[in-house]
Amino acid sequence: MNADKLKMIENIPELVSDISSLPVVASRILHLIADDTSSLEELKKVISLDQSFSSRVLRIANSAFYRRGRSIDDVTAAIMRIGFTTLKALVFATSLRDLCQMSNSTDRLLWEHNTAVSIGSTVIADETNLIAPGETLSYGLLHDIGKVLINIAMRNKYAEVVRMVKEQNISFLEAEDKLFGFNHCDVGEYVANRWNLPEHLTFIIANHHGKDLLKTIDDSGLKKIMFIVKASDHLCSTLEIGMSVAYGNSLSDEEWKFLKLSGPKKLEKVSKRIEEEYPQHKDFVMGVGN
Amino acid sequence: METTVPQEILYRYLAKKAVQDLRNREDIDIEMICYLNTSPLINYCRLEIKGGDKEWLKEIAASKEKPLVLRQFALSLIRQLKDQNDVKDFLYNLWKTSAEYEIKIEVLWNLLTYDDLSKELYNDIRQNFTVAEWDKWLPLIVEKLGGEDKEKGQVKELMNKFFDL
Repeated sequence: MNADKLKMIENIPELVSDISSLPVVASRILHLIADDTSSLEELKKVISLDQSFSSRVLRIANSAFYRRGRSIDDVTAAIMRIGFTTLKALVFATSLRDLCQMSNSTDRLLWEHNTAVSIGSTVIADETNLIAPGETLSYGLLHDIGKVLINIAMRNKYAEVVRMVKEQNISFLEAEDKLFGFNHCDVGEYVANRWNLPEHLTFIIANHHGKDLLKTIDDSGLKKIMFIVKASDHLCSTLEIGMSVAYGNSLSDEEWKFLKLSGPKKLEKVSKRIEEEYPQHKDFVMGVGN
Repeated sequence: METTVPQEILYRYLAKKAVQDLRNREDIDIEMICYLNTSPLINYCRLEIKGGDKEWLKEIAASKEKPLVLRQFALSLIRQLKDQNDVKDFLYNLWKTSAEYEIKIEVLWNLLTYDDLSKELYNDIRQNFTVAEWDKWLPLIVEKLGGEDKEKGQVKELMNKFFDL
């Protein structure tokens, strides 16, 4: 990122503040914690599939307060590091605060898209056997964290980005660059560094719209995760889940081949699974009917 | 010959005895109540609660004269009867009228078992757990979740550091 962009991002006052969860997710978390009959697994599942709680938990687990040894990109490992009682108390208290946060349709669409990409990534990982499905969850969930942050910090202006994307048929990156002078990848990278998120996660947040990634990424594990997230991002947009407007991030033939998803039948199977699994997970996190 | 009584039998006996004593308006040692109000014993105690117990449970929970831990225990027990409409009304009313966080948190825990809470109530919950008073309620939440004293300080520090509370 160049110095001018960095300076602009540093001058956004609310940018590195906390990301609130949607009120409906906050109330679901409160219910789960207070309910003696709910299991720890249920709570972990909601935290793992919510961009706000996941980013909070990863941020704390990777902070100087807790960080020992390697950095963590997985919510379950983060929970182990923080401890379940402390985590529940933190999640409960932040949920109380999130209960009546103002949220708009853009918040909801971003949440839906990021959750769907997360689910889609696990489906692709499972279908291709490239990596363990659980490893991709937080990557899918947080790849567009920059959009979420810009939308929080510049609420009215982000609606303008969405309008430009729809009306001018341009990508989010172009619209954001035109309007702000920086884009969601720049903001995501800046915040991921501030939050000490792991190197691979930060790379994906910063570069998921990058060119020639097949050639430029050397680390084979990172390459697999990157293309799984990109493919999921593309498929979820095609399936019109969440932000499903003019999307210019399709994969090349070579990239689909790398994922072993070059045939239409395989893609159809993956798309069908995402369509089936996403609503179930969404209902679980938000409660049925929300 | 030394024999060991299975823990479950002990738990059941303790729970039955405690609930019976409360029904008979007999005093129970405060330390014992604290113990009974922890998992898994509280679950055994709740199983002893019958529909006819709700009036004395409500009376204890709403009383300002009774010891706080006894009132908290009564509120834990009344959860067993949560599906009765007047219990829900009682909890709503106690939520509105109680001023102590110790009681409010117990009532909140019960209210959160209902799926149909109104937006107004959620708003009211949020207004009651404000940043200005977090020093009072946050340690109680940690305690309610089974946290130790060390964790109370730790959670406060983390909330302060990461979430501006």
